[in-house]
Amino acid sequence: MVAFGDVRRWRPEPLDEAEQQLKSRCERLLALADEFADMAIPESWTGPAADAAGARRTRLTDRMERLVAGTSAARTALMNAADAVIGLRHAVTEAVELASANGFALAEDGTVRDAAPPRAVPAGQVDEVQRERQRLRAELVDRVEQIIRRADDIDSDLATVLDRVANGDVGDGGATTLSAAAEAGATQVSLSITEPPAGKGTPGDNAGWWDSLSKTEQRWVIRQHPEWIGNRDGVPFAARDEANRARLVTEKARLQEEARRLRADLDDNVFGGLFTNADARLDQVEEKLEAIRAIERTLTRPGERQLVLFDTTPERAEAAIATGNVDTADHVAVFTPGLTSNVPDSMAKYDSAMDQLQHRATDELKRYGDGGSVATVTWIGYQAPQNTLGSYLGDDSVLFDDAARAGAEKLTPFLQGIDTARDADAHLTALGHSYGSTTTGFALQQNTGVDDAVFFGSPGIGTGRIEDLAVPDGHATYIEAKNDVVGDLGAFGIDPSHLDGMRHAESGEARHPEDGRVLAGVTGHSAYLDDGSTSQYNMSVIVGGMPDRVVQGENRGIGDIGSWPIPGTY
Amino acid sequence: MTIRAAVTAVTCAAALLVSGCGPDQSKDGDVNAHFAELLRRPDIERVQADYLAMVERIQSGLVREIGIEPFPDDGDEPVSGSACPGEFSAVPEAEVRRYRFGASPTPIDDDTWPRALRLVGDLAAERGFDRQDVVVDRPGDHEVAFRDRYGAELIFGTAENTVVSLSTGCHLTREAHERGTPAPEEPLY
Repeated sequence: MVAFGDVRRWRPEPLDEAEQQLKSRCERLLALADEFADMAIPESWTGPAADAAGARRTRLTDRMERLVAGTSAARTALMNAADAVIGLRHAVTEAVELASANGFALAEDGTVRDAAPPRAVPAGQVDEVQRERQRLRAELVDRVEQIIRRADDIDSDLATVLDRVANGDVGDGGATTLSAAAEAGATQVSLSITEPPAGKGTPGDNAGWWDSLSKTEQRWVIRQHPEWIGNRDGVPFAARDEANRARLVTEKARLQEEARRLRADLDDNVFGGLFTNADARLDQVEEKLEAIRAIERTLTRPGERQLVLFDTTPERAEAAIATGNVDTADHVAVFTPGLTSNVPDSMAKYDSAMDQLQHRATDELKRYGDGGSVATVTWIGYQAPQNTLGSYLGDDSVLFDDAARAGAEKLTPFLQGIDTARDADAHLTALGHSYGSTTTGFALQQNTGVDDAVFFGSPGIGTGRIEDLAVPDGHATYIEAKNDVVGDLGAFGIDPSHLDGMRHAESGEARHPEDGRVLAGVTGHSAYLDDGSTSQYNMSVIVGGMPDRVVQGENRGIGDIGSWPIPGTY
Repeated sequence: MTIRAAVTAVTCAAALLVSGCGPDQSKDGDVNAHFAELLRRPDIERVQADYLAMVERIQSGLVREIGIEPFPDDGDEPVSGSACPGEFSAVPEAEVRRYRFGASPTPIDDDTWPRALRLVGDLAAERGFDRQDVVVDRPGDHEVAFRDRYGAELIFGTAENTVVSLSTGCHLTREAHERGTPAPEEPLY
């Protein structure tokens, strides 16, 4: 295995120089082509001597052609290796800069050392700083692993090609001229592109792998294997978007074909789907095609959209669409909806709400803040409970937290992948509504890098202790509207209205305590994102990193008295 | 089933019945009726052209008459759009658009604010933005929202910077408007 210290010293220039030397020798060989033509046996020369001379010339020509093919193969391999080393050096630079910017050191053997932990951390930020360093350390370890994996791959591939050349195993492909032999040699070798980390990979693994590829190799992956990266957390979102848009086309064609086949099967079977289950499968396929239609419509709206998640393998299609650029926006918010949300029925509405929220947050930043940019993501990346009897009784039932826990397993790496994929961390906010707040709550019990969390209309965030949330102290906010019965359930952990340490933001009609603006109140469970509402305003200023502008307040009603937790029971 | 789960089930069902937990309340709404209503409005491209011309006049007027620095192009995508919220969400070919403009780095002082507001109000009124709501009005910080009959909103404000921002009401795409009827749903396969 290649040592990390050696990889740090790898440069593409020696490979380029070697390639240039081979090029010049190859050109000298190719220049001999005319001489070989001149060596042809004159037609007037016949007899045994002429036959011997002809045979000798043929052998010589064949050797030359193989030599040219081998030289050309070696050249191609060296060029590819130089290109790959450029990509690898980029990955090394990313890792080294990330380490040095945060007080870590990368040793020759690749181990990550906490060389200069921050001193004099304010008491209230100790946990936050510790979490951040744990996250960074894990990311660095993963990045180094991927760099070594890629370096091994380049080394092994190049060695294999050069061995083949040295052993004369590169043929001329039946070429009859030296230039044709050169072309044949060049096409016989190519360095493999390292496949992505096994399984889903951690965001650090995936970022390390992606960064280790050259630009040419990355383009190749997007074109040839979009399925490798479309949903791979840690890969930049622009690349994921491009890959997922390509997958949208192929998946649509595949599902349409499957739907037609299922329809034909059902039409041909007098029992319909009674014994084959084809009708149930057709319903699922049609739902996925409806999801694709909803995604296509959303992506064609004006403005910047990124399809950052697209998966048709679960029972219901999953997708996430961003408004704005998640790779570069200063502030990023990820919204997780709850009960009844699914791509066909929910994407357009929530995308509209997120576009409006982005607009409001951007406006506030322009007037009062740093003028930073905002991206918002509608994340329907889990099997949210549906309002059907089957769902109430199924694995994704709203009655239990299983669907939220399963969703959190997907939301957690998605959130982690945002900072990991970017050059600089975003101010990252997680928004969770209804059952989506439970999913968000479970996700935020992991180290995600989320800076602010807003739960609204929540039946519980999966815990009765604010300390379980890995967000900075004072940066978890709860919004509950009057007459929102779901918000008083306390079904998954206690009612967040009663969580010690939770900040409460107003949802009723309110006059801003600072600037005096009047904001509209909302009631019930489903109006929190209404434009011009107090709740939407509060979310916009939190998303924009202006917590001082939040209109604080609680809307406690009789339901909150009923949901008061009994000490010792949670 | 535990008592808590039963309560959750009943509450969620009730919440869905009362207010709709999810987004599909208008899925089965009367698309044709909403479409017909939107048909009486200009299409989105036409209002966009009108509104952007108005904003340009407002910005240049503020620079010329009030003396603030120009509004720069901040490099962001200047327009975004989405499905309409609320009752028109059932019409897939309807759209709202939102515009981002760079902020002028010059705040407008309190003494000059009434003159600037008059200038913007007059230009906005010419384009049908005849409803004016004061949002913020305190020393060094002012914001007014102008609205037209389609629900478009023009924000004019000054604090650290001077900003103009705009969002449209709900309008049909030009193609849908010219067709005059909802597009037939394409078969899924």
